[in-house]
Amino acid sequence: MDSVQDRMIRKFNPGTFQSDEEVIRQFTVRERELGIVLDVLRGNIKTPSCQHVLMVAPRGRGKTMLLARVAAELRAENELSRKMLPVRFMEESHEVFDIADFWLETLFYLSKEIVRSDPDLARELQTVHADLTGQWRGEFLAERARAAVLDASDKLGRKLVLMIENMQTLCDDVDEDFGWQLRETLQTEPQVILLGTATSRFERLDDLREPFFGLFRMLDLKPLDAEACRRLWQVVSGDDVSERRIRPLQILTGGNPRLLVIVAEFAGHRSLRKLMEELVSLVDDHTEYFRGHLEALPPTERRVYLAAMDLWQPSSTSEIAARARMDVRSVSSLLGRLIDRGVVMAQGTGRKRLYSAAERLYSIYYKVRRERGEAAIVHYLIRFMSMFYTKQELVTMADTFRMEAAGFPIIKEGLDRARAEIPHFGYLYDHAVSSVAEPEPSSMGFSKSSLSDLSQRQQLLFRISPKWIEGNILYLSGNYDAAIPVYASIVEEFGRIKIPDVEILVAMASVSIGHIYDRKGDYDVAIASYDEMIERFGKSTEPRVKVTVAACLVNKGTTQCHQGDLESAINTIENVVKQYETDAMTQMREVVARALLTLGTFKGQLGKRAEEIESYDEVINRFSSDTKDAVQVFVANAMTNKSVVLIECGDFEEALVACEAVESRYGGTGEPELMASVVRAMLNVGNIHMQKGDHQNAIAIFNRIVEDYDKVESVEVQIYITRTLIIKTLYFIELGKSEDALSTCEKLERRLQDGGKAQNSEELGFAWVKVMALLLHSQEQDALASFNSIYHDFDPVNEAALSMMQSGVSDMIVLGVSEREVLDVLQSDERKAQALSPIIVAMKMRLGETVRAPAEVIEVAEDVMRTMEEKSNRRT
Amino acid sequence: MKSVTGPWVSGEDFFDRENELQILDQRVRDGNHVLLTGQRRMGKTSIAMELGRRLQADEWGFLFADVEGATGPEDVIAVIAEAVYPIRSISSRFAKAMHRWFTESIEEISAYDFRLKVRAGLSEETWQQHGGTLLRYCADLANPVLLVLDELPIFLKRMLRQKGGRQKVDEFLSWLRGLLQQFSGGSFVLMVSGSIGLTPLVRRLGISDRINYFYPFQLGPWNREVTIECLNRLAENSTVKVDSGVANAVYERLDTGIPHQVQFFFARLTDHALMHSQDRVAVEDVDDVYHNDLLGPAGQNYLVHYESRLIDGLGDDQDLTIAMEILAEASTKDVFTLEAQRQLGRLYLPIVDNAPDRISEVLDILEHEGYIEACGGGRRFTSRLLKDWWAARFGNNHVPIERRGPVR
Ligand SMILES: Nc1ncnc2c1ncn2[C@@H]1O[C@H](COP(=O)(O)OP(=O)(O)OP(=O)(O)O)[C@@H](O)[C@H]1O
Ligand SMILES: [Mg+2]
Repeated sequence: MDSVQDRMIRKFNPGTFQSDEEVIRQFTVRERELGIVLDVLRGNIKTPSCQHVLMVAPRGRGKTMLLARVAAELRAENELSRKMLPVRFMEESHEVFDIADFWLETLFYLSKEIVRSDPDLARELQTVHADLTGQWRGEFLAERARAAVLDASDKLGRKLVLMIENMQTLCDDVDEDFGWQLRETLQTEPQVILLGTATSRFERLDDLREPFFGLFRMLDLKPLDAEACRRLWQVVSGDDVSERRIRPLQILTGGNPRLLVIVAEFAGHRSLRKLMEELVSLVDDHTEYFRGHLEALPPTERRVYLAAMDLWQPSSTSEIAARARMDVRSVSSLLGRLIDRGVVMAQGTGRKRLYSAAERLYSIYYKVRRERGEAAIVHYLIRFMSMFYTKQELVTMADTFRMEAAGFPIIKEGLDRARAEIPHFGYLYDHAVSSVAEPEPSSMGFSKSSLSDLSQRQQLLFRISPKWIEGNILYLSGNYDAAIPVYASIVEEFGRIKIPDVEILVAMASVSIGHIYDRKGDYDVAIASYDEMIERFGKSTEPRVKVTVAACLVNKGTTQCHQGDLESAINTIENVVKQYETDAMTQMREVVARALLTLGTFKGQLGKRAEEIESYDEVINRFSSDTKDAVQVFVANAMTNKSVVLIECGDFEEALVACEAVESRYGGTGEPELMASVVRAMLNVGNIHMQKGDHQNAIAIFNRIVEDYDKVESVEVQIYITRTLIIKTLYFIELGKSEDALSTCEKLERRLQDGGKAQNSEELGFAWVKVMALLLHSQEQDALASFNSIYHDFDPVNEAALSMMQSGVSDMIVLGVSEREVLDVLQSDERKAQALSPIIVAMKMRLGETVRAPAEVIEVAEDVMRTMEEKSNRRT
Repeated sequence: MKSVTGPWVSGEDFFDRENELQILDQRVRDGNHVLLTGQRRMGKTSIAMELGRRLQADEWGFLFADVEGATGPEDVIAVIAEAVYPIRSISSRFAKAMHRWFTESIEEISAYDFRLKVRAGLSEETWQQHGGTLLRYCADLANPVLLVLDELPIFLKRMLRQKGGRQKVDEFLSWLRGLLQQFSGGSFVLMVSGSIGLTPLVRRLGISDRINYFYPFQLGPWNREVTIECLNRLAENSTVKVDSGVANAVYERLDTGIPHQVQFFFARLTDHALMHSQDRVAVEDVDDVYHNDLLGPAGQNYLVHYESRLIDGLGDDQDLTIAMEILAEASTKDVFTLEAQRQLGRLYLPIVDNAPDRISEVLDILEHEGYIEACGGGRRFTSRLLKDWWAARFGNNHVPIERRGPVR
C-alpha cells in the first residue's frame, strides 16, 4: 500500500486494464456523487421507467473515474449488482452513426463484459454481433441488434447500465433520427439504463425541440473542495497537509482531480514553497500532456483557444477575436464549439458573456512556455501564493517578527556567517593556517612523517595556502563566480597528494565549491560536487578529513532541503547521525549536534511536530554535558527551537520552562554565539508572556534584553536587540498605546541611524512599524507617506518584503487607514502592482468595484479579503 | 412518492392531476378520441400512463405505443403490436393472420421479438391491411380498449422529410381516421399525444379535417397549491430534511408549475444539500440553487436557446423586432397589456404593413412557442426564470411602450 507504485492514481482512462479493487481503492473523492448515482440506480431496480443519469463536467473532473467506480460496484457482490450489469463503452470508440450502430456497439461491449462470468452467452453474442455486422446494412439491423441486447438482458436477469462517455460528441455525429429513437428505448424499455457523461451541458439538452430535453437526471461534478483536495493529496503524495496549505494547489488546479494528482505526484515531499517555485518545471514535465491536448483541436479552434488562454482572465468575444486576429463572428461560433468540448467556459450572458479556459494550469503553462514578458504575471502570482499560504491564517506583522526571531537559520554576518555556513570553517581554518605558520607534525595527523616528508609537506602548504586564502576572501566578499575556479584549482592541483594537511585543505575546498553552488541556487550542481567530495574522501581515516566529510553530508542534506526534497534530506542527515554518533572527537560531536538540530527543523517543515521535538531533545540529552561552547550553542538553540514548537502548539507553560532554562543556564556566558542564543530565548519568553496577556512581564523582559546586551559587540546579538525593539513597538500598537509605540519607534530609528546593525528585514520591519505607530497616533498622512516610501523601495522579488506587504496592508486596514488611498499607492507602479495583484483585487472588491482578473487571482484575492475581514473582526 | 427527473411517472410517483384525469377519463369512457397536447415535459406521457393504469384496474385494455422512433407506418403498427403482445388472445390471433412470419409459437418469444416479426411482415403495400386487422381485433375484445400513440407528431414530421412525405402523412392520417370511424360504441378509443402541435402541422398541409374528430385537451402546469403540495410530498419522502418554507420559495422562483421543472429543482436542492454535507435544505438554498444552477452556466443554455430559437422561428426581421419589443415589455413590466399592444400597433404603423395584424401573429407564435401566455390584462412570460433572464438581457434599454413616440 505504501510503495509509490501503489499510490499512483490513474490520471487517464481510469478503469481500463485496472482491477475493480484497484479502482475502489483509488477512488478517494466524490463519494457523495457516487452515493447519488447509486441511489438513482437503486431506485431503478423495480420501476417500469428508469431514470437516466448524465454527469456533466469539464475534462479531468473525475467523470471516468466515477463511471469506473460505479462499474466496480455493479461487479461486486451486492444487491445492486444482482440486478444490474455495467456495459462500458470505450471512451474514444464512437463509431456510431445511427441507431443500428448504437445497438451493435452495445452488443459488442456487453459480450466483453460477460466474457468471464458467462462465457457461453458471451460467445453467442459475439457470433450474433459478427453476423449482424457482416450483413452490411441488412434489413432491420437496428431492431435485431436491439433484440439481441434485450434478450441477453432477460437471460442474465439483470438490467443493463450503459456507460457512455462524451454524449455530446455521440450526439453530434449521428443521423437526425438517432436521438428520438434512442429516447424511445429509454422511455419504454426498463431493462436499459443510460449513465452518460458530457464535458459540458451541451445545447441539445436544453433545447426543447430535442429528444434529450429534460430526459436526464443531471449530476454536475463540481470542482473539489479544499477538504477533498486534501484527502486526494494525502493519498497520492503520502503527505498530510493542512487545508490552508492545500488551498494554493486547489486554486491552481481549480479543484480538478486529474491536475491535482499530476501535481501531487510531482510534489514528492517538497515543501510548499519549493513546489510552487518548481511548478514551472512540472509544467515542463507534462508538456506532452498539455501539448497533446492542444494538438487535438482543429487549427482554427486552437487559435481561439490559445487567445483565450493568453488573455487568461475571462474575456469577451471581441477581445478574444482581437487577440486571435480573427473576425468576431467566426470566433463566436468557434467559442461555442470549444464550450461543447469542455475546454472553454462561459460566464454571464449576452454581450456581457465572458470566456476563459476551462482547465486551470493551461494558461499558466501557455504563458510560461511562451516566455514573453507576460509570464512575469504568472511568476508573481505563484510567489505571492507561496508566501501567503505558508503563513498561518491571520499573521500580523508582529507574528512575522515573532516567528523570524525564533526561526532558523541564525543570522550571521561577515566571518561569523561563513563560520556557520561552512561547518567547522573556523576550526579548520585556524588549524590549517597555524599548520602553515608552524610546520610541525600535526598533533592529529599521522606522526610517522619523515623529515623529507616534512619538507615536502611544508612546500606544498606554502603553495596551497595563498590559493586557499584567496578563495576565502573572494567567497566572503560575495564574489562567488570568481571563488569557484580558485577552489577548483586547489582540488585539481593537489587532489592526488596524500599528505594529511594538504588533503584536508583539498577536502575543504571541494566542500566550499558545493556550498557556493548551493548559495547560487544551483542545487543539482551543489549536490554533484558534494557527492564527488564524499566519493573521494569518504574512505579516509584521517580524523579531520572524516569531520569534513560528515560536515559535507550535513551540507548535502541542507541543499536537498533547499531543493524541496525533504525526504532525501532527512535521509541524508539521519545517516550522518547513525554513522558518526559514536565518534568521540569533539569536532565530530559538533557535526552530529548540528545534524540533529537540522533534522529537527526538517521535521518541522514537514509538519511533524512530535518528531521535531524528539530531535531537539536528542541534542539536549546527548550534548548538555559537553564542555565545548561550540557544542553548547547547539544545545541552547535546540532548547529555544523546542520552545518555539511548544508555543506553536499552544503549550505556553512548557515553552516558558524551556526558554527560561536557556537563560538560567547560559545567562552568564561570554561567548558571543551563546549570548545570541540567550537573547533569542529571552525574546521568546517575552513573546510567551505577551500571548498569555501578561504585558507587564513581557515589556520588562524586552527592557532587560536591551539593558543587559546593548553593549555586546556581536552582530548577531545586536540584530536581536533591534528585533526586540520592533516587537516591543508592535506590542504597544496591539495594546493601543500610541505614545509608547511612537517613542519606542523613535528609539529604534535612532539606533538604526547610528549604524546599529540591521539586516534588510529589520530595516523594513522598522519602516512598517512606523507606519502602524503613526496610524495609531492618528497621523494618517504621515503614515501614508511612510507607506508610500515602503512601496517606493518595494522589491517584488524580495520575499521578506512581499511577506510584510501581505500582512502589513491588512494590518493598516485594521487600524482604519483610508483604503482608497492605500489602493492608489499600490497601483501606482505597474510592475509592483502586478506582484501585488491579489491584494489589489481584494481591496477593490472591498470597495465594491467590479473586477475582472484571472480566476486564480480572484480566488487568492478572496482569501486575502477574508483575512482582512477576520483580522478586523478579531480586533473589535 | 420518490423524486424522479426524466422518465414518465405513474402509481406512487405520480402526483395529483386529479381534475385532468377525471376529464380525460370521462372523455375516454364516452368513446371520444383524444388529442393530448402540452409543452415539453409537462407530464403528457405520465398522465397517459396513469390514466391507462386506472382504466386497466377497471377491466379496460390499455395499449401504449411510443412512436417517436418510427420511420414509417409499418413501424407504428409494429410498435402497437408489441403493446398488444401481452393480450394473448389478440396476439396469437394476429400471429395466425401473419403466419408466414411466425415459425415459433408466440409463447417462446418476447414482446420485442413479436414486434420485430410483425415488422418484418409489413411492407408499404400491406401495412394498411395488417394494421387494420390488428386494430379491429382490439376493437373486437369484450372489454373496451384505450390505445395511446405517444409522440405521433414526431413520427409524422419525420415522415414529412421523406420523399413523398406529404402524401404519406395524409395517407396515414386518413387510414387512421377511416378505421376509427368503423369502430363504434366506444369499444376502441385512441389517444394521440405529443408536444409539437399536430394541429399546425396538418393545417400547413391543408388537411386539417384528418384530425377534426379528436377531442383536444391541453395539459397545463400545476397551479401554486398543487406545486407546493407536490414539493412537500417529495420533501416528506426525502432522506434530506427540507425546511417548511422551501416549497413556497421554489414556487416563487419558478412562478409556474411545470412538473419536470418542479422535480428538477427539487432534485437540485437535495443534491446541493448532499454535496455540502448539509442534513437539510434551507430556504436560502433555494436562491442559491436558482442562481447557480438554474440561472447559472448550466441553466443559461436553456435560456440562450430561447433567444436563438426566436431568431430561427421568426426569420423575418420585422417580426423579430416586434417580438423583441413584446418580450422586453413583458419582462420589464410583468405584463404586455392590451393597451401596450394597441400602442405598439400605432407606433409601428408607419414602418410595418398591417402592424396590428402582424403583432397578433407574432403574439400567437410567441404563445405557441411557449414564451408567453394569456393572463388577466394581457400576456405574460410563462416562466419567471425566463422573464428574469430576459429582463437582465434585453431590459436595460427598453423604454416602456406607452412612453414612446412613433418609430421612424
Ligand atoms: N404527475 C406527475 N407527478 C410527478 N411528477 C411528474 C408528473 N408529471 C410529470 N412529472 C415530472 O415530469 C417529468 C416528465 O414527465 P413526462 O415524461 O410525463 O412528460 P412529457 O410531457 O411526456 O414530456 P415530453 O414532452 O418530453 O415527452 C417526469 O420525469 C417527472 O419528473
Ligand atoms: Mg412524453
